[in-house]
Amino acid sequence: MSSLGSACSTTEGAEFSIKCNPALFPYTDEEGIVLSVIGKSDGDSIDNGQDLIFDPISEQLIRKLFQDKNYTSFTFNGDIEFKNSLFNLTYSPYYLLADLYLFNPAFPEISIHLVSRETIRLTSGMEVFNFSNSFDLSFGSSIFYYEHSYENTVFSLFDLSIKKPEELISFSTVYGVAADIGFFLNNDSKFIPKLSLQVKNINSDLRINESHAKSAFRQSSLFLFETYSQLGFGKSFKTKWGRFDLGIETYFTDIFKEVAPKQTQVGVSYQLGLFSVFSSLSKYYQNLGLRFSSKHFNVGVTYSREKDLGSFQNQHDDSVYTGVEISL
Amino acid sequence: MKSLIALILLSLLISCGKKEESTPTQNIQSEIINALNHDDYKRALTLIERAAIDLPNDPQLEYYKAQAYSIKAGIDIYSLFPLMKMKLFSVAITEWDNVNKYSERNNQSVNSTISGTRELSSKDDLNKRKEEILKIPLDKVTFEVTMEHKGLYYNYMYDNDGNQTDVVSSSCYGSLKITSDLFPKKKSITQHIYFEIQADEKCDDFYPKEIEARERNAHRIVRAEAARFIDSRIKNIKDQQAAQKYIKAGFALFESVPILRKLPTLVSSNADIVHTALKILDKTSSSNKIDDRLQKNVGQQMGILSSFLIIGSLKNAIDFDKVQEPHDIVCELRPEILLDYYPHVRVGMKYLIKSAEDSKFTEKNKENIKKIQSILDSAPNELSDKQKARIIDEITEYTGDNC
Repeated sequence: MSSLGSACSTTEGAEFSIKCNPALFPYTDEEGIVLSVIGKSDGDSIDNGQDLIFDPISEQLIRKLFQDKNYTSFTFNGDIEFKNSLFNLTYSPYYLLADLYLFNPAFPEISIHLVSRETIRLTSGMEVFNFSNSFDLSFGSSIFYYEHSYENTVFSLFDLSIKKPEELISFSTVYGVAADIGFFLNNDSKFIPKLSLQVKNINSDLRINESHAKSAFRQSSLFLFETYSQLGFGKSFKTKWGRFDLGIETYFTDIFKEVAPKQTQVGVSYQLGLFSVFSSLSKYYQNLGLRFSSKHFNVGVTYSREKDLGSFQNQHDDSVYTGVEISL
Repeated sequence: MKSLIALILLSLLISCGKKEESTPTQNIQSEIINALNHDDYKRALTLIERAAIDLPNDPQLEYYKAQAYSIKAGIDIYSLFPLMKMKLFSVAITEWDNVNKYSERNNQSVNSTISGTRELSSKDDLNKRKEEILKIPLDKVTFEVTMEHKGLYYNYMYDNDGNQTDVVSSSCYGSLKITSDLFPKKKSITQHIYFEIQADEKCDDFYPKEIEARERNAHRIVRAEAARFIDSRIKNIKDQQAAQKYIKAGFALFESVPILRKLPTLVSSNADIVHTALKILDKTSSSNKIDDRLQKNVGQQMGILSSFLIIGSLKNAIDFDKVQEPHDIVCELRPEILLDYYPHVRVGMKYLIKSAEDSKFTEKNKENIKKIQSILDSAPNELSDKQKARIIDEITEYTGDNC
């Protein structure tokens, strides 16, 4: 999994907070309509994927794919959000994910993981408990309808030469309603961290395919579409030179079933005025980003080093994520 | 409050199990794939040996071994590509349909030019017609008998000196032409007649009787001959279809010449490594633990490697730079070079047939494939000098007469 921002489930007050944790809803006060797009804008990824499917397969292309980068990944997400003080309504017509892995030059095979997802989501939250004016517990939840089309397959280049792509790639679609719930415990203590607990994609029909997850060449997403949980700790420091936020998040399968320590993510962000800089580190993902936020326009760029194949990948891939938000 | 929070967190972390990311076996498999991706066949083979301690005879590991040997032999995607649908790599995947239609049109036009544009009746139609003819009652069979040639021989007596003396008797001969609506156009059958007459008799007095006698018995003959004419036409169709197949194959080979030129040269030492890879693939395919993906890959790769052996050998033996038209493929063949590659061609043919065992092609050409298989089974691993010399002489004689 990868994200534009750092570990943010305990970062209250930011424009994107609700996307990190619905329990942060009481800390937002924005109203209006927001259009946003986020994409992985690695030119090589898009070019290579396009070349492989739409252009003649030449010796030069295959040589380039094997020698430069035989793993190609593409991500795109677009949202239209309606915000008010009571709820957020978000329509995401496109969440596109495409991972393409070409392996074994003696008899080349292509492992493809494709996702196209459409959701409409209603989010809200409230403060539920205040203790001694020091501890604030808030609760938030999202309920959403999803239409999830996916394909995860592997075929040889020989298959690609004798069959049409549509014979090899055939999407399955799953429809359903799922929910996220979150808790956020804020406090003004100097030493006690903020705490977040979330369960995502409750009632999702999507499951991790264990054989794909453990395969040396099949790909699958983890902690994205299936039911999973998250535990986060954070601390904010407000100074006259800006605000620092530290956070650490760890993931669990299902509802706090098995912890995945290798997915633990540490994040830090610094905000001064309209600018913020953020960074996060985990075993397989490291990123550094910059964000500019104004009343009507937000833009962010993140440079990311990724091992999407986890322990099955020797070297990190470099990617750039770009996000743009326009508030009307 | 602080204690409660600490207790909740501690219980979460202790009670949850740890998610297993991957096993050592899966890790080593990914390392093997990484080694293959970087053409490091030596490292791949070392890792495979290590993994095989825990997983002996594992088909996946055997498959990876075959890949490592393929890389060792210099077989990589660049040499495979010309063999995979040779015509189709000049256009994008999205336009392959159009190329198929173009190629079909081209083939048809070549076939028509060489074998004529006469439309043949189908074999089914002809067989149907034959059945109809054989069911016609004899009294409904119509025909016409006409005298074509006639003549007379005199049979002489000879004296002791061998001189002709008197006429002893005369012999009359003639050929009767029988035509019928049941025969194809312009077809007829001929019957010969021969009879003796006395010296004072005339042939013309007897011809009508002979014709009448033949007419009485001709119904069965005419019906049988009409059926035989149809058999002959069916055989012609089969011969023409066979000829068309050879024409198509020759045309496809000729069209592929520019791409065959790009194939890497088959070096004997590399070819021996390809034999090893093919043997491993063959062993992998017979494993009962093999999954569908591996089974398919093994079959496809066996086909490509064995084709590479055959076509690589041909490439070495034919001077493709001098090939300007299809017939040149035979004329520019250097038989002595081809025979040096005979073991590789033989191995290539053996595994090519094996790789196509369950294909539609094999289903349609069962008989021919059986014949080729029995030839391969009885063919020697190496040709003797005498055998080579004989083959070279035959090819040289053919090219001498026809090139």
